[in-house]
Amino acid sequence: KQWYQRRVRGTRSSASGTLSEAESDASASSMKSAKNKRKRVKSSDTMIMEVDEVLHREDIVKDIKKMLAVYPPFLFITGPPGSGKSSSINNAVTSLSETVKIATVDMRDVLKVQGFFHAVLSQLISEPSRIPDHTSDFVRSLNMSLDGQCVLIVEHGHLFNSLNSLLFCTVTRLYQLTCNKVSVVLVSDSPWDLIYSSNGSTLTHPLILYVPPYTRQQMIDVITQHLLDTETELCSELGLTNQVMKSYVTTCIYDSLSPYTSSIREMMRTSRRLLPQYVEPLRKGELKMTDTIKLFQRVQSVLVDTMSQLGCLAGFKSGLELPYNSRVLLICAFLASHNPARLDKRFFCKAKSSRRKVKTRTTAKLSEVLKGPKTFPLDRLLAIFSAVTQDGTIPCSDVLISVSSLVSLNLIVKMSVDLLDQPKYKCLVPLPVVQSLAKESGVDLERFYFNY
Amino acid sequence: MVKRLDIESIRSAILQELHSTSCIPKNCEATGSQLQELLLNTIDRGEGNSVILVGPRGSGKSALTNQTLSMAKKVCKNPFIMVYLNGFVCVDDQQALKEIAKQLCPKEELSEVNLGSFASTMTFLLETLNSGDKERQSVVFILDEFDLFTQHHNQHLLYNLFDLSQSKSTPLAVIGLTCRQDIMELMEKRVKSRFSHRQFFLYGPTSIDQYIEIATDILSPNTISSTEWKSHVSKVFSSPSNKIRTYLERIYNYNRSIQTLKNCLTWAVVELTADKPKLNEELLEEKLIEFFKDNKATMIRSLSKLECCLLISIARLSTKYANQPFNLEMALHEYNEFVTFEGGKMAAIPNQSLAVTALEKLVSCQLVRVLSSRQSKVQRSYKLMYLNIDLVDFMTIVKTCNLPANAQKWAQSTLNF
Repeated sequence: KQWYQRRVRGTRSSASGTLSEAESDASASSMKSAKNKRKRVKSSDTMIMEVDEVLHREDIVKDIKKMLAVYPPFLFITGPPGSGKSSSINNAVTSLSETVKIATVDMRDVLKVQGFFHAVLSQLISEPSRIPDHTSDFVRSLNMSLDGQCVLIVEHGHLFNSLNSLLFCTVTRLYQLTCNKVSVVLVSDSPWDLIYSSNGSTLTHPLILYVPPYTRQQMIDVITQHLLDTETELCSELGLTNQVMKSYVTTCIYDSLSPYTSSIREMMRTSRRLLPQYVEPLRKGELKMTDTIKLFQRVQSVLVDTMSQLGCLAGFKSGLELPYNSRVLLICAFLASHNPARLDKRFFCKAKSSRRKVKTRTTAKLSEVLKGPKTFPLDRLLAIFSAVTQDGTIPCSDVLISVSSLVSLNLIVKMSVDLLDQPKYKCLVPLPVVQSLAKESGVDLERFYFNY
Repeated sequence: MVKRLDIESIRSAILQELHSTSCIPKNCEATGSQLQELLLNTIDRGEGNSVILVGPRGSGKSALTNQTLSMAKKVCKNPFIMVYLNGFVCVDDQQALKEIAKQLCPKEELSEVNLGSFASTMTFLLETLNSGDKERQSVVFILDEFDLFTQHHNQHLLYNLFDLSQSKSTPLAVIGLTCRQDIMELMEKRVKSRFSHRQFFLYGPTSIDQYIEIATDILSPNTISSTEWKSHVSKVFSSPSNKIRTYLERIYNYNRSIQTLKNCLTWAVVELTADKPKLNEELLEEKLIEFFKDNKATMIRSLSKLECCLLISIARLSTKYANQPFNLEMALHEYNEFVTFEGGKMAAIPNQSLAVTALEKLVSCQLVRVLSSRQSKVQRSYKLMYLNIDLVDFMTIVKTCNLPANAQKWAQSTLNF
């Protein structure tokens, strides 16, 4: 259970279905066998504050509590990402959870409609007999087994549209369909008009609660509080006060990062990563706690480095350990995707006599580049490979095996297979990675790469 | 002086009214009596009947039906069974049949074997219902979202229901509720011929006075007997000192749905406590103004400079190429043009991943949406997307954003294409 709760979510793309059905079953059952039988599933996002008080959001929490006490049919909580919606509703619901059954579903975890049914039923009913396949079975089991008021909280509700729009219409009306027993609370980053307009006029209008974004001062306070809560050992070791933390957060984190990102989670993560280096001079005793300007200057070079790591995409290169042949093959695949085919002769043929200077069209439309990498047939890849390696050897079977291993690593992707034609591939690796690969393998990329 | 205890009961009575579908406008009295007569014919006299209630969303169709049915329960001599089907829940005729089976004969376990042809199953169900020495029970079918049932394959369910309503075996009443005015065109010929062609039209409030009357009725339902409270409510709506009536008129000009009205009034009702026995007029005004508040604008204003500039370059692409889908590389290329010509070094993006995170945030706010065609084999930065907000709206919002001067100028030049 601890591992499950500590797993930090990476980028917030909607394809983060890392929670498979088996895992969700296991976790749900472990939740069920806990002392409190109908404990709701908490989100695995550690950035959501589970404290007693949510800083600067007391009014919102009060409003939510007041509204939930009367069991509204459909409540919609919206606001920019990272404005404290999930923390507020978790806080408001903790006091309510003793008397009323609460179910929480994160739509990022739901990949199939049956997954949604299972998630809701396992939290609201103690022993669901079987997972319903269809909406009508779901509504019927809710009607039969519910005996009191319930609250269903759906996080990231705008993803419902891409899942199943009819189910979304049903869920917004769940209050009427279950004879006024289930209140639905939808939490989403996007405003209601954008969700409504993409679904036609079939949705009922909810009670809308808007959570405003944090102001500068509020954001600094929240990040400071988060740091003090999580980095307790470091703080107690060096005796860091609230004031010191606040100046750290203001100068290093907020003012440097706010032009690029307004996400509070990103700032929290960076602040935690940067804190050890920031307090290095304090630990060594070179500077005092009040010399904020000098501390900031010391940390500036590291700050630039950290900024390049924003967005969690830095880990891509470090996971790529390939044998030599595969690396060169990957570089050739990139060249095949990127260079237009008619220029192959110019780049890959051995230096012929330059008597006849054939003027080839070297300008290419930028729009073609911007549309993405092109597909290439297998023959072309092998031809480029033998040109680049300059062995003159005919590609043998282990080169072909490398191709299939690259496909299974999802670095090259196989496009639709035509039975009469050769298989076509496309390279999915971006340029910076290929450049570093080329440096490692000793391939002269500049000679072969067509710069538009 | 309203006694302290009474506020609690008033509050709960109003909340019950707000949360249930039981509030109908006054101009539906005629329709209500016609519907009741139809039901009486079916239940007491054994006729088969079918009718469709047509009206825009929030005009009181479900409310009227519920009210008529509850009155029929009290008035009619014979018992009847109600079967409720919703078009969103029963997406398929098979599902609908299962639902009907469960509601008609809850003790019977209908296995897959029995589900032969549709008609035979329906007759089997009705036989089971009427077996035994009980009197012939009539069945009232309520089909909510009727237009969705016409989308089913062959309109099987509708055909059988209307067919049975014409036959003499069991008295059947079919009430369809829909918001589509062209419902008759959606039905197939054979279904339409078995339908009795009776339609009742509901319009919702037709004037501002009716609208305000409905608002007062919601806030002082029949279950409250205190006349003091009723006079207080009517005073709130008609007093010249507050602007509640003007705001209600503004809302009425845009949206006549009773659901929206209920949503606006709920906030004020929730505030009622023993210490505050009067309706909070400022709160009511605030919530009525919030109806016109544009959350998109506040969202865009809270974006960081990078995200805002990315959105502006996307808007430029949309204007240049007439709303064709774009991808991140195109947007970045557009932005880099700005950087080279006007922006200077400060505006340059340090690395690609910052741009990717910025775009992810825009997608999660639904300001930009990914094209729904299969894009699993496309790299993340080449996925096709389109702008989800109106260009003119966006341009007016950007003017109020906190951007550096050259970015603002660049944004304003977008509309000059």
